[in-house]
Amino acid sequence: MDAAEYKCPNCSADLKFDPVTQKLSCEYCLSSFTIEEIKQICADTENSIPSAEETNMQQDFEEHTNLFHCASCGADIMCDDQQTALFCYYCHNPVILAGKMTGAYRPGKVIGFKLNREMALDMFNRWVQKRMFVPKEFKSEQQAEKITGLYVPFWVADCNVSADFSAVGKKIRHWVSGSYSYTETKEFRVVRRGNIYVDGIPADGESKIDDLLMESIEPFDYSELKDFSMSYLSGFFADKYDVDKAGVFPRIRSRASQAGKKVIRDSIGSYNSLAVHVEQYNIMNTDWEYMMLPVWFMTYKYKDKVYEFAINGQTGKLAGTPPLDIRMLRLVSLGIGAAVAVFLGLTGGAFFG
Amino acid sequence: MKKFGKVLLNIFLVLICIFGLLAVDSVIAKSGNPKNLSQGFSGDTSKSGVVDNCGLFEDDPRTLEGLDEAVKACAGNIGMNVMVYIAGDEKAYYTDSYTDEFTDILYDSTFGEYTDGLIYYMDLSGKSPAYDCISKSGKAMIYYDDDTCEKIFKTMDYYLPSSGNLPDADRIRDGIYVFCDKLEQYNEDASPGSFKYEHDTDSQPNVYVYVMDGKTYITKKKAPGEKMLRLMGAEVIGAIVSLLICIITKSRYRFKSSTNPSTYVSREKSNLYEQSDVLIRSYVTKHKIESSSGGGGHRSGGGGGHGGSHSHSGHHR
Repeated sequence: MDAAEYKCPNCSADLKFDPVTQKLSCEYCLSSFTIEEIKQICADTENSIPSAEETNMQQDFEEHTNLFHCASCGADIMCDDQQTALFCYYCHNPVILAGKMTGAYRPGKVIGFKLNREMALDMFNRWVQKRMFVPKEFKSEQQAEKITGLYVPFWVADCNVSADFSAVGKKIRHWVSGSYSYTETKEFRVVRRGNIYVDGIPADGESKIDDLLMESIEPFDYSELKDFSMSYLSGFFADKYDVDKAGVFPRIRSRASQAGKKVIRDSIGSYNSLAVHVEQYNIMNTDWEYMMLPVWFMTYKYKDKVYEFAINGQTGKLAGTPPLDIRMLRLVSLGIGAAVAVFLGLTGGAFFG
Repeated sequence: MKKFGKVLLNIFLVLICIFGLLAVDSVIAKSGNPKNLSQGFSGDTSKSGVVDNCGLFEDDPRTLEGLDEAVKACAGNIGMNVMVYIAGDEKAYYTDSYTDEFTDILYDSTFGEYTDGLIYYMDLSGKSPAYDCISKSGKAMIYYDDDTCEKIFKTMDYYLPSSGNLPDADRIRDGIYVFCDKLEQYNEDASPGSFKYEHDTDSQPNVYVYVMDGKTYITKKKAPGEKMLRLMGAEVIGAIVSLLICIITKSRYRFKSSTNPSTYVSREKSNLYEQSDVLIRSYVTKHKIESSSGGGGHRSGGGGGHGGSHSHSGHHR
């Protein structure tokens, strides 16, 4: 009966009691907790009633946020009621006013843009200049105009990772004495257990934007986090999330485990070989924050494929996959190859002498 | 299915390109029609024979006459000029390179430039080490390459005296007969194709000797086969360069890796409450180091080029 009352602390899905393990487990994110653990975790959050101030802010958000919908790619774009979104940031097709936002989509925190449009364009141009095989249109001014200042919805998680590691490590030493070669092997039982705290792993809640692209422009400097206010949207667009925290949890779990693994492996000295017997990273608790993070975003459709390009609107870190004009590359590489062949033919005496 | 068709089309296009290039290479290789300097073999064996500079057969002119006839017959059989030159003590001061030069000049002055034939210089001058050499011209360069000459030298070592020892006329006589037999044997065994030979003297332009369709060519341009190989080599290197440019450029247009999540680890809050490295066992193994010993080997060869179109194979006794 307990199971029905509790939500998963990691992804908010319903927890179910597993008679085999005698634990409450989440079918969605595969987390599991003892009843004592879950009671302890939930004790802090149960019966929390929104304050009056919080209720006011949600109402303000609902009243002053317009939602535009792209019929072509399905993107939902938010902006304040002082401006109108005309084109979709993703597919560049016209968008239509779809109504007002509900308070559930109001983010708790935001980091404002520090890079203006000119700075972002300058960075983009410098990045493009280094790549001579991008299609001409990608370098055009019309393309540059498509760069959009976008607040991307992020689920940011603080995770407590319980690490359990056990292995047998070998240290091997060789030496030669007289006409014999000696090998000394020392075997150690290596055990590491502990709690690793991973703070602020972000995962974007927008399914259209490539997750890897967003991970590439990290990290954001959370010391500049502010409480969300409608004023931050002025002059920029914001995306409405379409992946909730349960949806992004597998990514968070994977990255938190990766981080935990790095800590454990870094703590192990230099062994010649390591035979791992146990290596488990369980996420015991996750604290979520829904926030808007600033990204200068651009897409380019080339040969039925959408190429995405993003600049961290706070730090200026950029990432993206440049489109490759394969025909131009083939022509140039064949030209150079032919020039090399002719040169070698001439100097190697294939044509004369 | 569509993808499979595209792959097939690409393979087909690549094959067309390869065969197209081969056709172009073939045309380029055969173009130019360089002048054939080869004078061949006139069929006149009167100048072939044995020159006894050593005076070994001075007292036995009939033996010398017999040897001379045998060499002439050999020349007729193999279709090349052949001379066996028995060097006496007046050549004792000749260096190896001077001996090469001497045989080249002797050949050209006796048989003419760019003719087919060879001179076997048998060093009985008494110098140590003795230096035998074979100066080859025209077709002989192709038929009697360095390996073949080395085999002939090895055979002749049995009949020739060691350096510093006096020669035995009977053994030399037998040796010359064997030499003629060997020339005929290797001439039959040889099956030259489009061979090439690069003449490496400083004073003369490079001359290339090759046999094509049974005809000997001595030209100042490379053999078509050689040209073809060089063209194909240049094209293969060009293709590799093209491929490398494509691969490197494509790798630069791939997505770079994402941020490492360990950036987000809070070192202050994290706590490893159990960290242990306990020695569970230790053991030592030992192996006897196998000692190896071996003898040394030595191999050397000699040879150089001189004159109109000659090559040499030299041998020290």
